[in-house]
Amino acid sequence: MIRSASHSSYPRIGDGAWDQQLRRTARERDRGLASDADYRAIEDEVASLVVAEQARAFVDVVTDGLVRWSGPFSHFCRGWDGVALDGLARWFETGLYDRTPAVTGPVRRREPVVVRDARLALDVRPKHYKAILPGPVTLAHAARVPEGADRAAVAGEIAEALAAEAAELAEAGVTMLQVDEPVLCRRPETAELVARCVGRVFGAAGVGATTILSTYFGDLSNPALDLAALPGTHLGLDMVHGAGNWPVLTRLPEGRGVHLGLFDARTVRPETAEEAFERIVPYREILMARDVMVGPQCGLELIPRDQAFDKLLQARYLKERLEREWRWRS
Amino acid sequence: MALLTTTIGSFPKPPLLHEARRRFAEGEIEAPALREVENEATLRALRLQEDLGVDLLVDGEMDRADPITSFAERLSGVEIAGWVRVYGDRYVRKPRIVGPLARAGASTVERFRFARGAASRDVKAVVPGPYSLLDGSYDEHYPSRKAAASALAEIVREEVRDLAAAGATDIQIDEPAAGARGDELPLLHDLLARVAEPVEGRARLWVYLGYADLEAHGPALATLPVDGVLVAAAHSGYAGIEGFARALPADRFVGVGVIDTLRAAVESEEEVRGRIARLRDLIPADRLWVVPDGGFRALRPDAARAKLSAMVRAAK
Repeated sequence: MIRSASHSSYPRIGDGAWDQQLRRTARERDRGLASDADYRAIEDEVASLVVAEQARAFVDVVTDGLVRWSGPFSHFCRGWDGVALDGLARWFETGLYDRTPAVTGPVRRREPVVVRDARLALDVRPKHYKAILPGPVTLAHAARVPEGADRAAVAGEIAEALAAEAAELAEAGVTMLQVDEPVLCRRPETAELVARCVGRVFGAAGVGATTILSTYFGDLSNPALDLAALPGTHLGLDMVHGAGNWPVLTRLPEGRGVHLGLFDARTVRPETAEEAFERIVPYREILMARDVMVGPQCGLELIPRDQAFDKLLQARYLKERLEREWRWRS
Repeated sequence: MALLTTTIGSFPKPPLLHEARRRFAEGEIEAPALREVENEATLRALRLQEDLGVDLLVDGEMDRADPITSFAERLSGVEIAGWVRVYGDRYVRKPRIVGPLARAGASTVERFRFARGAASRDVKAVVPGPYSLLDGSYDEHYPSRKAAASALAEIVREEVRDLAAAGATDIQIDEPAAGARGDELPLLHDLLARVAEPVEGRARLWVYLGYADLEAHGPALATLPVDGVLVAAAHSGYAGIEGFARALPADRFVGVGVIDTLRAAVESEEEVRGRIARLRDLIPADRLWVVPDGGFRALRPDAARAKLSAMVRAAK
């Protein structure tokens, strides 16, 4: 089967008058002219519109754009005990900044963080809705931990908190779950820990759920990396910044689906479905036997909305061509 | 011994300026009318700093929505893209480099002249750095990051030269992207050396490093080829400051943030004094400047004033 898929985030504001509403309300809130409740109401509306906008591009798998997320590091900390927010840090080499989690004690889930968001997104009735969770190992590596603390143990605690979130997402009707572990591309030595922690999260995602271990900002070409040991029904690979991932396709475990990041979500340079098609043609036989999703390689909020929409359109055109021209066996 | 103080660049824009910018964007007023409101806002930012006793003033960036975009949009070879989130609910319109970069003329000199003419003390000119201009843009033209950065360095070098010719004694190069890619620190070093070369001995050149990771890159950042280094550190509880301070060359001025400008909560004078005491143990007092972590743009005016006041009182 072949599907087009959004990766995770989507630009929450655009150039049109209404598209600026979130930014405008944030400014009014700063000046005491709007309340937190006003802001949250706009956020809910923008999230629903973002789901609809991705569906308008006829993308099969959509997200809620992570519109309510404060940032890739900080968002989940608000629902957990044992983590405070520290200084500002970059999300890898992107232009996006976030507060660094600072571990102050055992990490424990206090309350759900994205379960309500998922319910609201499902209300829009998209074809396939994908919920996103941060990777426990990526978070543990980004966090400040007390001197002498065991980062692997912190990752394990975070995984427990995320597993509880995954279980509630499943109860809410989520059947597709993605966990983002970009750290795996930079630190292949974390593979065993990633397998254990993400495996724990996916184990709570419900029977029959589609589970995607997403990696990006690099590749998984390290020959010592045991791909079969990585959890999930699908492996997300960055084919833009991870040139070494093309040979990885030949090493994929039997039956494992792939979420191919073929469009560059970090540049506004126009890309076409035809260019992407030419790149994957050599892997036709490998891919036709699998469940494949095609789309951008990471969240789209690093580029403006018009270009983000265009990347999704190209993903859709690519999927349509692949569906038409290839004989899918999966 | 009282310590010298300066700020990073931006001050909160008054509602009247927001309104004037909106009316200008919608064609309701002409550029001179907007300029008048910007000038008035600049004067108010200068008066605030003078009243509180800041030693080295800035113009407050009242003519700039975003320093990177405002500088880049005056260059040929650049178009401006749509809105992109950078942190929390802050968004910028990033430049797109679509052709060979060239500078039509000075971008910051007129504002510097106005501020210096209106101020009772020295005013520091502020210019975005080539590395951060590149990092904050989408490059669709140059064959490599190095080639694009080199073209931008030439432009910033000319701007710095013009500022010095206009009488600027202190020039700050904003490089908040410094340290974003550890493997490019040698490139940053070379770019700054090129930018600094025309003003050596004529003006004091500062580099503002933003929220660079001092734990990972402190020693490399401490030795950049400028006269003074400014860095945010209050936000992270001074993580990595020891290694950074140890690596500072003996002749280097250094401004370390003692105010977290990303948090609305106002620090007490006592709290700031504690932070300064910690820094004095690491950096000689005759080299140490007291600064906020970043610009005040995102703060409410009353919070910005209270924070700056606490900072200056603690430094004195």
